[in-house]
Amino acid sequence: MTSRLFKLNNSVSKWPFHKVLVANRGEIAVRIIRTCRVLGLATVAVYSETDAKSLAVQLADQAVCIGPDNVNASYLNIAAIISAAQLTGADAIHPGYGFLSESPDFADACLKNGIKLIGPSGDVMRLLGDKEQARMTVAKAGLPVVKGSSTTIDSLAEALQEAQEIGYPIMVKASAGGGGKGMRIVNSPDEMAAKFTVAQDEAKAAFGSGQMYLEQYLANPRHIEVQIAADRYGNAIALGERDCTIQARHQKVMEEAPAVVVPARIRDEMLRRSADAVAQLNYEGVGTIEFLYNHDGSYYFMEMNTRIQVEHPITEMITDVDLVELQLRLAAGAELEPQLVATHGFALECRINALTPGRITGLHLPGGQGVRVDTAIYQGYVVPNSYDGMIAKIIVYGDRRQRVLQQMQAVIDETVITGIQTNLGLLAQILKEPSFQRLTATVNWLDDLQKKSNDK
Amino acid sequence: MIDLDTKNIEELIKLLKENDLTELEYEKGDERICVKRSASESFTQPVSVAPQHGNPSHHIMAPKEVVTSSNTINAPTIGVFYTAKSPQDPPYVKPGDHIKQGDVVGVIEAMKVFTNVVADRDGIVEKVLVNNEEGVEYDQPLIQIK
Repeated sequence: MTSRLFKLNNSVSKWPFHKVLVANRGEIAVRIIRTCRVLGLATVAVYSETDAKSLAVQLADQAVCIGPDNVNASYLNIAAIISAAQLTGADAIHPGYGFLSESPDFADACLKNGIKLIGPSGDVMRLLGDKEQARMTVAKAGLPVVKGSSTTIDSLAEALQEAQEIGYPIMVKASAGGGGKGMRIVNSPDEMAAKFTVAQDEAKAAFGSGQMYLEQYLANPRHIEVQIAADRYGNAIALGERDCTIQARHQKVMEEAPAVVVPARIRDEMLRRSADAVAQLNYEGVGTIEFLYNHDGSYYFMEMNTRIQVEHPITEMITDVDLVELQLRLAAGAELEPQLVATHGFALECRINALTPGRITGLHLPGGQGVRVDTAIYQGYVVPNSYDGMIAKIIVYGDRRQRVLQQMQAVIDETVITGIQTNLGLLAQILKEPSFQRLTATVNWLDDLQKKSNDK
Repeated sequence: MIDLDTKNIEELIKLLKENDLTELEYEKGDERICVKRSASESFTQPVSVAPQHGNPSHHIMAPKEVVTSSNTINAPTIGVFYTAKSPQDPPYVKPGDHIKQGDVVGVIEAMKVFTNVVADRDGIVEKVLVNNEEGVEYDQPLIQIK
């Protein structure tokens, strides 16, 4: 079904690359290998010593050990990964998500060595990776952004002056930052005096830069994001949106598509404006524009992710588009037909996280109509201590939200993973919460809920 | 006056490849030889392979020998293994050599960075498991010692 997105029925008549190295691990590596197989592209898995028995290693046509357990020496080691591509004759690299997927230096190294990176250029990554530049760029391209400082802020005096113009409450952020480091919510000038320097010191320690910026703080928004795709000829399309409001400490826990809280008129406008903005960026590949959404219908650009997203399967379910295939075809030079991509039904994803490392002694994964499981675990697999704890994604698709929520409860109850601790209990609890069911949750809801239950 | 026979040109091509250059020009008087590599040709020529599922094919990577002993010196990094400092130099080690902990026994190149392979114990070289200029992965056994 992916072919209907392109100008010609046969979007790629001859692949300019034949062997794809997958520079990632876990479920996304398996996910990418699966689509490459369908398309007749050969695959190379690269792995750290720890991952020698991983499913990706077993499924790929070739597998190369690139380094030890430590990610800096393996999955983040640009020289090792480029070497692995050269030694195996891989002429394309799929970076997945995380690791080097948004590294402009890695993109540059691929280009320099004649390897096609499945994704946008290093220059575009550099532009969108810098929060402030990204904000200014998309604002110019027509997307609403939260009010923010016009330049980077170095001192408290500057911060106080800028804050006056933007209005409190304000979020202080590290310009080079991420993951909550160097971030503070500030409600008044007094608080600014107390918190700015602390945040700045944290930013210096974490990112080596004390450059800060300020932006208007939205107290209780939902997280809505738009899936986009763009070709190298300046055509861009939106493939629906996702609601990723259910988060714990800035990490998404559950995602749903479409975002039923957004009225149709606003939704259509968000999608259209997102596609129009991306068409102006010299962007190639798939990407995600993240927005903060207020219940009054206003929405603000937060950031753009220049890679495939963890939660991409829910978009695949409601659009019938294989997004990894779309990435590969765009990298091969396919031309998009600008269009409104129709969506149908409703999809919900739950992320299964391992809370402890160890061997999986017993495993039962769920099934049934509309159930999809993306994972790289198997019975006897040892969950390592060294990497992200997400071990599986369970996706349920159906015709309407209420029905999907009910089915997901049954699906989570049916799932058995023994030998390690998981978050299955938390997922089951969230599914029963009225705030989740009635869509009244905000991005802070789950943190507050867990805090309350801890305080008891 | 340069002797423009094929041997000379072969020498230049060899030099070009060994140093991973893309272009080499040699000039003497009004004679000039210029050797260039096409941009797509990398140091180890990628081979385009048709998908062969479930049957890993190592075209450039060195085959992993079945090592009977765990007494081996392994690759500290992925890359191209060299048994000698340069083609003119003798190999670092050959079977029968006595080596000491800390001796350089080979070198591995990855993206033009050369990493020495250093013996982590004393011993006698029994076998060099990988040929010169073959690709090796991280921790691959390179030299078996007694």
